[in-house]
Amino acid sequence: MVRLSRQHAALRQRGPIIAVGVGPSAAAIAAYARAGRKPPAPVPVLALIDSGSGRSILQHDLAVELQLTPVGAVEIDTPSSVDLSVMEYFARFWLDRTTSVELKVLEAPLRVPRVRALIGRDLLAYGQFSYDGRRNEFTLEVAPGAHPTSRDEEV
Amino acid sequence: MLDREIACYQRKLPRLRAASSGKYVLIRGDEVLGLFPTELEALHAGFRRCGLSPFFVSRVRRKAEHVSVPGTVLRS
Repeated sequence: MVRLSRQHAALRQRGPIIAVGVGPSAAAIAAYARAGRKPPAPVPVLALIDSGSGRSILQHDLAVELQLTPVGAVEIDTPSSVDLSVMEYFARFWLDRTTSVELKVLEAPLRVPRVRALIGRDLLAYGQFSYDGRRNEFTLEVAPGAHPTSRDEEV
Repeated sequence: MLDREIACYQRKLPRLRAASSGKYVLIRGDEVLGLFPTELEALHAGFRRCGLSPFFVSRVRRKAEHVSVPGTVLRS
């Protein structure tokens, strides 16, 4: 179990942003080993926690930097277009040095300055997220071993 | 990228829905490599069989997947 608690005076303006590492999945790292290649190291990024998003998202340039293998495609709606087809990748979010969660994430352009990833409800399904506006504080607790009960439900 | 795999998925979807609804299909090129009970198993099989080459994993659904993404964070 990892517990990340942050307090920002500008929490209301900036939103709940945490520093995480994003890297290839364990399955991809094994594929690199079989190919005799060195996998890319996890990249430290700022990630916005957004319970309004069902899926976690990476910026395109981050997926390119990590040389992530496309493993799917899905259509999303954006403010300027509908049914925009975007790639999906299998990535690993490192919440601290020893705790990580693997997710099938989307690639999409984020407009929050300096933020290169968005943490959605697929990652939050592994734990608990609380937002205390009066204290300008938020807390994310994640237990990676706990399998999310809602992951495989038909929507 | 994945154009062939997506076309293959759409072509085979009626038959997949009839026989394997709820399972996860793994496709490379024009070939269905397997059906798996969980997404994680399909992804691991994809990396084992395809290495670092792109492949396609999707749940066999009755309806197309609706992805809930907030417009406020997406650059238009």
